[in-house]
Amino acid sequence: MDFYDILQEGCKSGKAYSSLLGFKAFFVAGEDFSVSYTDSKSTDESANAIVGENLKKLARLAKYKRFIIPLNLEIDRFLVSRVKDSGAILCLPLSSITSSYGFVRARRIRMMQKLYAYAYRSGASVAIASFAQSEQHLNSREQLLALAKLVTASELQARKAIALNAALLERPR
Amino acid sequence: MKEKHRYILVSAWRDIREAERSSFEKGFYSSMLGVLGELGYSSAHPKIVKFLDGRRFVLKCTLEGKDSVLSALAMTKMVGGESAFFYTFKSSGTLLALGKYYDSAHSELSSVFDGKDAASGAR
Repeated sequence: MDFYDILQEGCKSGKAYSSLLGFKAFFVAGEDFSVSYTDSKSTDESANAIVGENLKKLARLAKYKRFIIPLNLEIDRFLVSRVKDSGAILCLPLSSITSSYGFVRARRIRMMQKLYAYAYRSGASVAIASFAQSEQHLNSREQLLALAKLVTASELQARKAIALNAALLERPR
Repeated sequence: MKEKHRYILVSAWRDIREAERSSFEKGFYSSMLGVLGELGYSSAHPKIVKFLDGRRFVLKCTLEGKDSVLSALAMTKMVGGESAFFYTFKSSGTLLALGKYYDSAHSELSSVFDGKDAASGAR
């Protein structure tokens, strides 16, 4: 099973570390795939990945094989059902865990666990990626797998969630 | 029955000179305690075994605590008041296997992470 990871634009230099850290490749936003943010004034509706806090907007933009990356980890039934019906992929960013501390981090871990469990039970495709914004938030394959196991509570589900990042090799139709 | 352990090859964010290794270890254990908590720390029992060079060191932990230690290393971003991060390359049940991996990957690790000539890397 090949592992891929998704990084933000600020982590371009991390690409050199992909094989040493145990990954087949890193996908960098803006370089390997197009990304659009719902919080910006105009959202590119043809982008391969949509990132944002506004869950209603994310749900509206869900499309086959498109990555939906929510920065707001609340459970939104409409978003999950849209992701499932459209064939999109809900991608949980681990950077929200690694970049916070103390009670905030503990709360985010709990929210991510609940969101993953709900989405998985509902039948939606869920991927997990580090979405690192700098080298400081990069993880090796083992670290990513351990963090994913924290979220999914099952090694098999964790491996599948990380391997699903390979869907970025295909483009949404 | 004998408790099972795992050895993890870890790379720090910068060279740790010999003179500052004891203060680094104190800060490192303190950060791990903060992330793992007292119960998690006692169950995982992470311990730095040895430094292979300025940045790479071997961390020993219990088998049951291995995932917690890996997660904690990913989440630790501050050591001794300094911004920090760690990468893990390999985990193994024996030091010998880690040593072999380090010997085979040393030049690549140095050239990618340290930007130094592999021949000048010290063990």
